[in-house]
Amino acid sequence: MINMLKMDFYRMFRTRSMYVIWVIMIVSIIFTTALAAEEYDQQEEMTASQQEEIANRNTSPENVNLGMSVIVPTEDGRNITVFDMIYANAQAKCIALFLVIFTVIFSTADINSGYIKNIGGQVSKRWQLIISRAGVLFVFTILSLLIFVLAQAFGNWIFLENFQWGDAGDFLRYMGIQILLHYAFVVICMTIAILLKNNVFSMIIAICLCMNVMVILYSLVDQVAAKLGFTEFHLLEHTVTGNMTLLSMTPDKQACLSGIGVAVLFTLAMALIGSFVLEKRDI
Amino acid sequence: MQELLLQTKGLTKQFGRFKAVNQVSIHIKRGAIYGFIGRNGAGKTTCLKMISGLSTPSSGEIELFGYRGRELSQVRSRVGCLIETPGLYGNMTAYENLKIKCELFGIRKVGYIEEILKTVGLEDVGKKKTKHFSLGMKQRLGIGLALVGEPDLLVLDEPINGLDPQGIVEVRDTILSLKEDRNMTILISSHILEELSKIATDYGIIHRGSLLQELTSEELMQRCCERIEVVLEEPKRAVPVLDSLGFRNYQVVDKEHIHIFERLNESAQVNMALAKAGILVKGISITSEELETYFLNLTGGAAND
Repeated sequence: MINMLKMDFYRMFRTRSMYVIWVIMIVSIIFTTALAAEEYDQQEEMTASQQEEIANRNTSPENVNLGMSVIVPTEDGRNITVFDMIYANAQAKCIALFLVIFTVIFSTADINSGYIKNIGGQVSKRWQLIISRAGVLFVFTILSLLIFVLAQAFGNWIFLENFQWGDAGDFLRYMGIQILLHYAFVVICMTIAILLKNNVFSMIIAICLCMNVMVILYSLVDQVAAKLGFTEFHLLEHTVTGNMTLLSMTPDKQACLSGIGVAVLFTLAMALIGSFVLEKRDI
Repeated sequence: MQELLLQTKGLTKQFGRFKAVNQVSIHIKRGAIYGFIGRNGAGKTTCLKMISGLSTPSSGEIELFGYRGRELSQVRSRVGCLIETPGLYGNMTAYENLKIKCELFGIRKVGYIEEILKTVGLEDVGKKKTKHFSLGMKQRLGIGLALVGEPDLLVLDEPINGLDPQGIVEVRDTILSLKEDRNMTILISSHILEELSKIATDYGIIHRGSLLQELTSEELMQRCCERIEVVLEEPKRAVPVLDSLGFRNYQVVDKEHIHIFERLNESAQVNMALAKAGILVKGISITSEELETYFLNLTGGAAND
């Protein structure tokens, strides 16, 4: 298993697309920060109530919109902190989008190139290849989110006045849960890519998930549940992408547990499915 | 009898109702170069995939190095394979492609990768990405990848397919040097019989998923080479006659045929001796068969295509 991890790490750090994705991510974060700074100056004229209305409209489970919208949660008259921007980007699944693009490329590289034929027959437990891949993608997720935080901090420092990190405790708690949720999302996309063995379709599905396309399905399920008497049931609250969007900047214990639970459950389930498929499937 | 390194018993692979491989039982001796002959779609690749552990048999058994069933996983790492086209990361160099597999096997030995590159004649490729390699270079790198971990059995599926004459010679030389230098057992499939005949020590002929025949190189040559073919009613009665004439290299093929592989200019004497012994000779001729013709006859002829 250790050797498999070493192999996958070697492969990952020699995959050029990883660096390309990181560079595009950094550039887009800095660019959107510049746009946010400009927009914030204009928004200062708006009333606090209007902003609150916008914020509420975009974080209630019933009203998660299709597409990708980045809403900075900073209250009127206060400085935009690094945490505010990170929250806005994470909630909108901007970073998740970059993560899943690499995940799909990396997860299917050996299948598409046929390299798996060189190793698939010689490993005694083929399912371990998936666990190894998932392990390497965890490191990739952490590194990517670290780069994201640093790029965001750099963007704030350049474009916004009064550089501030925000509340450290809340920030760390929020980031901890978002790391798990982003990782769960990565594992979901990895499994989808392995199941489909097709980069294009896998990437379309991953991007659609980032764009909240599934809310259409979720709302249908919610309606059925409501008719059955479960009026308070919202499927979105039990999904990885839903938790990524709904997790507040100051999550209470219940929200933390929900986020962690969903992340762990999906990670394990999807890794299990991927492992089973690779073990049983002919190469 | 020489030790068997690999044998299959009733190996079958079924896709829906179609049996791609049907009850194949092959026997490969240690140190042999086993030529697996069959037309396109005969089931060669499917069979080799099962042997290499890339595919699970629908039924039947594989015995490798004396291990079978679940125990097989213990010896899977001793089988290197190149199935169909070489699987390479195009954006990486030959060195990096080999390094990835070395990491999997935990091989840290200095100069190991360079040695493999030298073995397959790619020591001078430098930092050239494999996507810019010629087909021959890719095939050789594919063989190089199969060699990582010093396998005892090398499975090569159509390694000379699509190569130019120069590439074919290079791959053939590589295979022969592996056999001579490392005493490796090699299972090699191809539909190019002439090429296989230059290296193989044993043959298995597969047709429409079924193994038709297994024979050694000598047996195959014997069946294909120039000979006196005698057609008669009771071959058993002819044996003492041939012995008395001093023939040693002959074979009673079936109930009507005897093949004599020596002293081909003495067919008249044979005919006379048999007649004197009261054996009715229906026909006597000097004949030979091309390897290709032998194969075609065995698999039902070209009309079966």
